[in-house]
Amino acid sequence: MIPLLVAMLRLATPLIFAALGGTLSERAGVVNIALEGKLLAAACVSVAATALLGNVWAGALAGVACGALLGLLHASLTQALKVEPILSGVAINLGVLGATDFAVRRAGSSGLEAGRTAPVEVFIVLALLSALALWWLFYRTPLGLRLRACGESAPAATAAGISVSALRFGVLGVAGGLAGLGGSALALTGLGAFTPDMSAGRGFIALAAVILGRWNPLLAAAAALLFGLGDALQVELQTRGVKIPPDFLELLPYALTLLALIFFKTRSAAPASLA
Amino acid sequence: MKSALTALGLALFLGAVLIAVAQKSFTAPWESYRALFVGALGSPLAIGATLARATPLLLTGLAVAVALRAGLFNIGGQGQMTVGALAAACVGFALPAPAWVLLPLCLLAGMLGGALWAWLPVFLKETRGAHEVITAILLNYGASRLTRYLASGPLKAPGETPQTPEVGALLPRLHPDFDVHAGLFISLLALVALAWTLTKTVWGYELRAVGAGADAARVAGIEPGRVRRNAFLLSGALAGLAGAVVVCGETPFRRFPADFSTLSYGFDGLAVAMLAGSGSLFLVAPAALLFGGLGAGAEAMAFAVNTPKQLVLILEAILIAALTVRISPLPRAARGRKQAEERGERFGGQP
Repeated sequence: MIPLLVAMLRLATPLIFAALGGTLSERAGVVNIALEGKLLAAACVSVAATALLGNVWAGALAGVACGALLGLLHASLTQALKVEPILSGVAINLGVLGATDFAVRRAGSSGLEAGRTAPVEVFIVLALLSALALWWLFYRTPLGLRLRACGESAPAATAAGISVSALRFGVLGVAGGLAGLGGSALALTGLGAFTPDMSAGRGFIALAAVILGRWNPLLAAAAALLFGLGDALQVELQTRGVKIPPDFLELLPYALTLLALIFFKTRSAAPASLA
Repeated sequence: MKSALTALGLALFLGAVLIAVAQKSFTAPWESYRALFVGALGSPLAIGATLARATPLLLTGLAVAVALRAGLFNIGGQGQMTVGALAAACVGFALPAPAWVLLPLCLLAGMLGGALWAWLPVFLKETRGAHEVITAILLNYGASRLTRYLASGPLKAPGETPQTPEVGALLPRLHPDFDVHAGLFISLLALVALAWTLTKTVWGYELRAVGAGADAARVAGIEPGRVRRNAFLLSGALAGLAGAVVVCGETPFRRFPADFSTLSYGFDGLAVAMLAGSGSLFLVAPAALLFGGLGAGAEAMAFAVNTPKQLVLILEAILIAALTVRISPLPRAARGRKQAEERGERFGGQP
């Protein structure tokens, strides 16, 4: 029982970070399917930086910086160049998938090794603290009110004197940093290694957690924990050697996420500019 | 057209910079691109491979383009293609019918499979309010894992390799030495039929009207919800047809291998549709040809000069971003204002 809960927390941590990044950017009115690419890029960069610098925390920091930079790229494309956020997200995801795979293959290997792993507890605590901090930001500060106003109606926010695109630039940078922390947690707390496409859709599962959590950071984190439990059960079943084909077990996280979306109605909770 | 060429030039330039940095050599980009070009167009064999790749890309590109004309992003083309391919393979190996009966049935099964997988996001959107982009992406992953399980378990053919039994209906090669197969004619037929439907029928008019502005369409008595649903299902059917064409036509397939979803035709359809732009639907054909050439060339390049073929993914990403700088909703208003100003000047009045 206890090992299962620990596994749940460990597997949920990257999802929580990504879901918080998603909540943050969608509350400010920008669809962020680029989370998947940010997780993957940060996982790759954090492992490479850890191997290079010999310190996991320096590696994790590099992952955060990488996620934040991609967030700013997403902001430049969507806010300054007016690219449709979904297409900008597709481009970032595709580019990161190609670039990380390209880098690994150029190195002539099937993955990168960090040489050490990070303690998972630190990331879990950071994830839960971030969820609380984001809730406080949204509902207890003037900045949070402005941010939510951008998501409900950008023209109204502009009329109230808020610089919508400047705020969204900042928001996407921070959201990218959160996803970057998630990517670092994904790569550094498990095996301390990076393999191509290791995020395997976690960024999108996190977005489903955002929807199920009704764009509320605490509920989104709770939904991410639920998906983490599903993942932990899957791993538990595989290690116990239960006679279920592994391909079928791998289907479970996605099926569980879709089923959750089928059973919960969420339309009314979406920020108005995204609905 | 000009912006498509600019974007292509930008992508190739940034790709060249990347190769030069990765290989630490200034001649490497030139060698890589030459190997890519030779692999795409350098010999009759290469041209055959390019056409074979362009065949499903034309269909998946049309799938995205049709949804886009109705104002929808279909990012689920990959999953729809995979499910369509498995459906076609099942009909193809299970039904004991002569090939000329079986082939249309396989293609139909592919379209139905793709439409079914496209129906799920539509259903979730309409009844649960879940964003169709996110559900469609999750369904891509679902399709890949589900079909891999089915093809390596319940539907597996006897033997070592995880794959379904061979289908009884084949799209023959146009010439025994070249990869290009009769599926090319199916793709071209779909292109002509779709272009005709969009421009000459009420159904196509309604679809374009909803894409141009749902509120105006509603005022004109069109139900945007119904039109969007149908457009999304048609988009899924086209992606599914692409899967069926690959299973029945591409060698060494003629069956559904468990790792079918590693073929990225469905994802690439998005880049094809973006390159083709929002003008004439016929522009999807040259765009599919270009990406077919990039794909075939990248394989040859990876083999010849050791530049990983993932370069194409990066080029695709740059292309999508660079091409869509113009098709956002905001510049349309800006464009209208500019045109009004120009009109004002032409007639000598104050705007």
